[in-house]
Parts: sequence; C-alpha cells; structure tokens
Amino acid sequence: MTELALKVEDLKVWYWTDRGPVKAVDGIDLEVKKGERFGIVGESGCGKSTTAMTLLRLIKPPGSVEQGRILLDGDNLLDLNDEQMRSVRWSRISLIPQGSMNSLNPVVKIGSQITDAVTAHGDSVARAEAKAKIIEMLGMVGLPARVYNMYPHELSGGMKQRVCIAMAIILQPQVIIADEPTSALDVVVQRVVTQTLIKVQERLGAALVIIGHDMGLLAQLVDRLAVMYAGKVAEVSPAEDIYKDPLHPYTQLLIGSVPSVKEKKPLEGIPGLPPTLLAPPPGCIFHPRCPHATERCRAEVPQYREVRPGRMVACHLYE
Amino acid sequence: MPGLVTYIARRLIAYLLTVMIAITANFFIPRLIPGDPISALIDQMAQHGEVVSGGAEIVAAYKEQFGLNGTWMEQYFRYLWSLLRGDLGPSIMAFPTTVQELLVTALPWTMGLLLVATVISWVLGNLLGAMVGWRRDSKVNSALVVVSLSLNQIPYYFVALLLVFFFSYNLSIFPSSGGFSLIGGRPEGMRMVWDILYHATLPALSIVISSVGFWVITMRSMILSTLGEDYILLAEAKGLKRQVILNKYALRNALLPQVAAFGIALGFVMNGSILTETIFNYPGLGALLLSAIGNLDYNLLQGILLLTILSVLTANLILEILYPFIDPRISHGGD
Repeated sequence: MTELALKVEDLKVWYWTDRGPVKAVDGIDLEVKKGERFGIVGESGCGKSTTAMTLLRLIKPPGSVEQGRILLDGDNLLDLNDEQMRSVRWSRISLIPQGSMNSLNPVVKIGSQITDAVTAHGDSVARAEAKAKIIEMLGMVGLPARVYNMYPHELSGGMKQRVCIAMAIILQPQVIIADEPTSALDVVVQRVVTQTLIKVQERLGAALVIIGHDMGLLAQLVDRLAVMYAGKVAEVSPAEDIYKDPLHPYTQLLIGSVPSVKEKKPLEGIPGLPPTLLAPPPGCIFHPRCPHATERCRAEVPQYREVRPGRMVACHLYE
Repeated sequence: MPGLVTYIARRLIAYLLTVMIAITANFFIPRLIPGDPISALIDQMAQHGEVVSGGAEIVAAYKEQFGLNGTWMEQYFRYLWSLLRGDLGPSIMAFPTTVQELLVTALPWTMGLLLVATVISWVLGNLLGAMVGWRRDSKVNSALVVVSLSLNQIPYYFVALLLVFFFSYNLSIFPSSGGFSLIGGRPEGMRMVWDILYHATLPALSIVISSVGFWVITMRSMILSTLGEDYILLAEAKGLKRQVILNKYALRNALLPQVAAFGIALGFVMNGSILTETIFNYPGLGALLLSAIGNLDYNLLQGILLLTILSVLTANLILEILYPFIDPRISHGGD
C-alpha cells in the first residue's frame, strides 16, 4: 500500500530533569523507503541515538515520548500496548546495538541468545528449525558454525558485531536499526563489518537505518542521509547530493570540517558549541553558530520542507 | 580435560599449604595465653580446699599425659605427628574424654543450625533482593530496602536477645535455651525431629534475621547494575518476555558473585555462632569453644579451631572447583 517502511511524524522525546525537560528530540520528521539505506548523522548529543531507541520504543524514564507518530508499515508503534510492541520488536524492526562489546550476555552461549529471539516470536516448528537457520545466518555474516556453541568472551570485537548482525536478521524484519554499528571497532574491522552489513541488507531487502557521527563513512553507505542538530533534522538529501551541494549551513560547515586526503585545505571547525537542550535558543536552533543568520532566524523557527526534488531542509535561506 | 586436573591439583596444593599455616598458627596462638592449664587446674582445686600433695610431680606427670612437656617445638612436632594419625589428644577439662568425642557430639548441632540458617538466609535474601531490584517503583520494595539496611546493621546477638525476650520470656512460644528437651525424657523418631526443630527455631531465626539484609542489599545492587547492561537492553529489543529477561539475562548474571560470597559468608558464620550458641545455650561448637578458652584447654581449642578452619577452607575449595562450571568466563586454566 505504501512505499514507506518507516515514517516518523513530528516526534518529540524529552528527558525530564529537575530543571525541566531536555528536548533531546524535538519534532522530527523522517521517511524511510522500503529496502532503502538511510543514514542519520550528527554530533554527540544531537538526539540520533535517542531517535534510534525510540523507533523500538526502548526509551526509559526519565525519558518520555511527548508527541508524534512512528508508522511501521502503516502501524503506529506508539499506539500499541506492551504485548503488541513486544511481538513487533525483532520480527518487524530489529536493532544492531551501539556497544556490541557488551550487548551479548557473557554467560550465555551465542546460539542460545539468538534462539531466544526466535522462540520469543515463533511457534514450536520455528524452534526446531531455529538451529539450522541460525547457523545459516552466522554463515551469511562470515562466521563459522562453531560460533553457535561459543561464549561471547571467546570472540573478537568484530566477530561479536557480526553475531549482532546475524541476530538482527534472523527473523527477517522489514527495518533494521544500526546504532553506530562500527564505532567500537578499529578501522580495518569497521570496513569488513560494514561490507557484511550492506551485503546482508541487500540480500534481505530490508530497510536499514544507520546512525553514525562519521559523515564520510555514512555518505558512502547510504542512499539518503539525514543531518540532525540539537534534536532537530536540519536536512535530508540523497547521499551523493549532500557532499556536492550541501544546503543547510550546518551541513556545509560539517563537511568543511572533515579532513580530505585528496586535497590540502585548511580545516574549518564550527564556531561555538551546541546549545543546551534545556533552554534552546529561540528561532532557528542553529542561528547562534550560523554565518548566515538574520533577524528572522533569531525569531522564527524555519519550516522543514522540500525545497528541491528529493531535498528537504529546515532553513530560511531557501524560502 | 587436562586443564581441570591441573586446576584441581593447584587448588589442592594451595589448600594444603593454607591448612598447614593454619595448623601452625592454631598451635602457637593458644599457648600465648598466659598461664598453663595444669597449674590452673591445680590452683582451682587448691582454692576449693582440696589438698594436692606432691604438687610439682603431679603437674609434671599430667603435662606429659597431655603432651605439654618439653619445649614448644618438641610439642609442635609431637602435635603434627598425632594429627597425622588423626589423634587430637585428650581434652584437658573433660579428661579422659578425647577431643574427637567432644567434637563429634557438638558438630552436628552447629552444622545443622548454621548451614540450614545460612542457606535459608541466602536463598531468601537473594529472592527478595532480586524482587526489590527488578521492580524498583513499588513502595513495598522501597520499604524493604530500608528494613534490610537496618537489619544489616543490627548485631545478631542483639536480635537473639530480643527473640528470647519476646518469644520465650513474654510469649513463652519457643524455648529459650538448649538444643532438645531435657525434662520428661528424650522423645523418639519424628517427635525427636520436631523437638530439635522446635529448639532450633529461635537461634536459626536470629541468624537469618541478622544476615538476610546483607543478601537483600547486595543482590539488589547486583540486579540493578546488571539491568543497566547493554545486553539487557538488547534482550528487550529482541522482544523477549519479561520473565525470560529476568531469569536468563538478569538473575543468572547477578547471582554469580552471590555464589562466591556465599563461600566467604560460611566462614563468618562459623565464627558468629559462638555468641548465638552461648545466648541460647545451644550444645554446639561455639559453646564448647567458649569453655575451652575458659579452661585453657589447648587440645580442645586446637581441635575446634582446626575443624572450623578446615570446614571454611573446604567449602571454599568446593566453590572454587565448581565456579568455572557456573561461570563460563572463568576457565579451569589449561595453560
């Protein structure tokens, strides 16, 4: 019925503190097409991981989803009760966690941990076939069958991350969230794990949402890229466009701050610091650091809209 | 499994070394108490008006009888030799009863009381602690934490005294002392079992009440730190049922250090029994130890301490050998 695997509408996730709400995610809209690789990039604290956790409804107090809708193939996840949400998790939307080092229970064998995911969603038939299926998935991510009977501490970091990938695809969900899937790995292993991830995603045809802070790495991987800043989406563009022609001033500065091996150019940082999300500045949240800021930017929140075909941006410069 | 054999062999060597050191300390420390048992006994008799003729010769004769003649080093090697033959010597205060006989009579009482009470306390404390940690939002559970913290601070002998005061003195529900009925002849069969349980209730309760708080608090903090782990979050993301997350991902991991702590606790409990047994006049090792100290009964003192040390060390040895089987991260070290 729809081309979209995942649609996020006006999502707000706040963390309540004694000094008021920290608006970690403050009204974002995202659309992820079926089978698409979608990246979310931003600096630490911009709300990208909170967004990832919210997509699986794993936000714990003091965090709370204040408003918005998360449509997974048309169903609003925020309307489901706990048991319905439990059955949606992993069978329709799964997660490749950030800290794969600690994401596996150290005293339970790999096979058993993956089997748990199968048995939580399947009948007895699924259980009987689980082992063969798990070994097949382990093979798909390049791990030998003996890993099934191993404990996490017997595996390297890269192998653990592959286990997490195999686990995430075991039930063939439509959407896979990968929260900084390679951040704890060294560069060589990063590359191999990333290739595995892409290969698996293409074979499954699932939509993959990759969260990261490395703009260069993400731009190579994904079809479209969302740039987040201080709890808001600054820009969403196809990955090839965003490097050639960044629209939002923040994206431009972000790209300018990435060192290049091809050409020698002075690196430019972005002046200032991200705002406190307890008391964000009025108007455009980026205006205190923006070189193009006008009076209007200081007073009025820019609308997030499509300014060119396939290119969404929240900035007064394009109105 | 050659690794397992080496591991056990290593543990055993360490165990034997520790036992050897313990035996040595055990021999010399009681002898540092001023005075000697035979002179104390003779003095006691003299005080009671008994005429002790040929005092010095009798002292010398008795000293030989009890292995107290010669230098400390001579005595030490004689002691080791008799230990090897399994002979703990005669008790001085209850001569001619041997130390073995006294120990065999007292040991079942202490073991029965302490082991059962400690196991009950451990199981109960861990269950409560897990519950309190798992459902932090409940008011009952928060109250339980406060109660546990307070109980943890109350000395067990104080609990024992309170129990005696309320349940024996005021309410007369439970007996205040002894391990079995002395009046009306000893009952037989099931009646005897009930009689023993009836007498053990208050002493056991005092140990459970004063130690359960520790297990509640430690288990709670173990569960809480486990719940903060990434693998719990991922287990939840996998859509596992709460019961599965609790049992397989939280409890299992949180229990491991508690098992190790249980071994250590056994040692403390052995020491702690002295006052409990004194308050309840319980016929166990604690009471025996107290009178051995009072009478400077070196042989008995050595025997009791040796037994205590051996039981604690053995409990720990068993735990060390079993631990790698319950925690796969600890290997038997096949290097």
